[in-house]
Amino acid sequence: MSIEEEPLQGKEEIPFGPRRRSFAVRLRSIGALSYYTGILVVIRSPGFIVFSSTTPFTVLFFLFVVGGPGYVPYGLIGATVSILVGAGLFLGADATFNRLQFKFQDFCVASPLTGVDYMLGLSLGELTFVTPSLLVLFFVFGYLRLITWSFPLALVIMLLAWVFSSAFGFFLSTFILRSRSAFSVTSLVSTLLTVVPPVFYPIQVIPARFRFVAYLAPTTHLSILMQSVLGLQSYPESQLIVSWAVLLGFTIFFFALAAFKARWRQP
Amino acid sequence: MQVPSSSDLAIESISLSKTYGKSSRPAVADISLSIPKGTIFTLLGKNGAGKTTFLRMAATELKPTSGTIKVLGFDAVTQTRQVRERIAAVPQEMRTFESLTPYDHVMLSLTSRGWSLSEARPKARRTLNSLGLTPYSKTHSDELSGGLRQRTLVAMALATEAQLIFLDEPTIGLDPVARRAVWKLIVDLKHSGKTILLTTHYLDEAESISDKIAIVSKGRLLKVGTVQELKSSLSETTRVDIASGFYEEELHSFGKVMRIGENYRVLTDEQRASRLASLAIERRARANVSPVSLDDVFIDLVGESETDEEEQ
Repeated sequence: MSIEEEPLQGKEEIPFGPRRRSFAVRLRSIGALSYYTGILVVIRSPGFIVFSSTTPFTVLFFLFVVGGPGYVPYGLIGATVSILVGAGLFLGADATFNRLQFKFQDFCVASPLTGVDYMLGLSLGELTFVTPSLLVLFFVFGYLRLITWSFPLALVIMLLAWVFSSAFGFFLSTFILRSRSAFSVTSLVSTLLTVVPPVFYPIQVIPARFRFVAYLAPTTHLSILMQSVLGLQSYPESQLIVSWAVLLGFTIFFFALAAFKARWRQP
Repeated sequence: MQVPSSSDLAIESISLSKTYGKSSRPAVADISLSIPKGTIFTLLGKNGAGKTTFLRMAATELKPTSGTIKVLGFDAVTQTRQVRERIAAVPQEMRTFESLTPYDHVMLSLTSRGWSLSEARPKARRTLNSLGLTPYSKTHSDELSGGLRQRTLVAMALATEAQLIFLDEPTIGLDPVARRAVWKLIVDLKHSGKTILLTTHYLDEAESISDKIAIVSKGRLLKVGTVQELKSSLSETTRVDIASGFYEEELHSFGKVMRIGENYRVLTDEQRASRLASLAIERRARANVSPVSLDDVFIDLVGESETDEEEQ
């Protein structure tokens, strides 16, 4: 049976024409990408969930064993930041594979899909892999009575963490030339952003003269804000203003970088 | 010959060139080409000849270094949105996702383009049916044969109802039966009014399904025409394949001699072919006489070297 023999009901009188990329159509595209590259994969291969959460939970466990229960709340914040930033950065590795191995990016470039929609779709899909881990962490947050009226603000900080790291990961992916490099580059960046800076512990642990290095990492500011919002540590107002400004600045900068400077079409 | 007007053209490139990075040799050099709508147009050349680079520039995946290229009347460099709304492409060596089924792949293609589920579901089912993929529609692609996976990829492009479809080496690595299935599909696409730009290095593929063929080598366009026009471009009409019993030097008096592996191929006219065949019979040598083919045109233009052209 050929395609022409059975016209699509309700659409048959309309020959193929460009579909206006309304907001609803764009949302549909983003949803479709996240479903087929994330949700469906998690449903069919749940083992991926374990892989994406191994490092943060391992660090959390060591903090508990070495530092004692007092460090657990800091460890929880660190694990949350680490998981979200890791999800964003591993989007970079997956996007590299999609481009170089599966040639899926080229398939999408030659379609009405925009680079930003593609990035958002993949990053939402990537979020699926870490959602179960985040739910476990939220449960522990609740158990430790860390979920208070200010928790929605913590969710906003988490959202910004995810957006900036996803945009950074995607931007990075469009410049990686070999798929073998993808995981090593993203793992290195992930370690530099989530394990080295004071993400799992308060910045006060670092000697004062070296703190300026920690402040260079956006994840340091993420943790400062989270620790403050959840009432673990009090910081001067000026510090919080700077941290908000840095976090928002990084988010806008990386999103703009991904939207305008990522190599959607190859030069 | 009637020259098609711009509105009849699916692709029109003028002096299109592409040089990668700091390479000294352009991957595509000064190609001017007009591809009419509703045809199967094939770029034929060895690996690395520049076919994929040309296709990727037309499909808005790659920016040209110089020249212009219009796709369905829109500039492929500055009017990418308009072009992308009207095209679909299956890149060379594209792979399916292991955990997705053929049905998932087609749904992914349609819904990521913005189709609603109610539109996409019946379209996906009908497309899979038309490609004989219905029995495998729920099989994960890592359990499918190479041919079925390739058909799945073609289905992803075909289902979109795009006016212009780019297929970059769509039958590479497929067995003869699977290749013929993909050929039939491409011809069906043309019959439904689509334009197909195909790249291949398989001569039989180009000869079997193309309305027009452009022979490309080292980034340059060597010749364009129908299979018949290309064959007619050779001054010789007949070829004689000789397995043994002759020295190369004595064959030169009969026509143009090519070395094909251990054998010789002589391109000549019918009269001299007949004389050569008679001589072969006298010497009890094996000779095969046939009309010139696209193969001969290709070798005449590109050369006999079996190596790929410079990799991009």
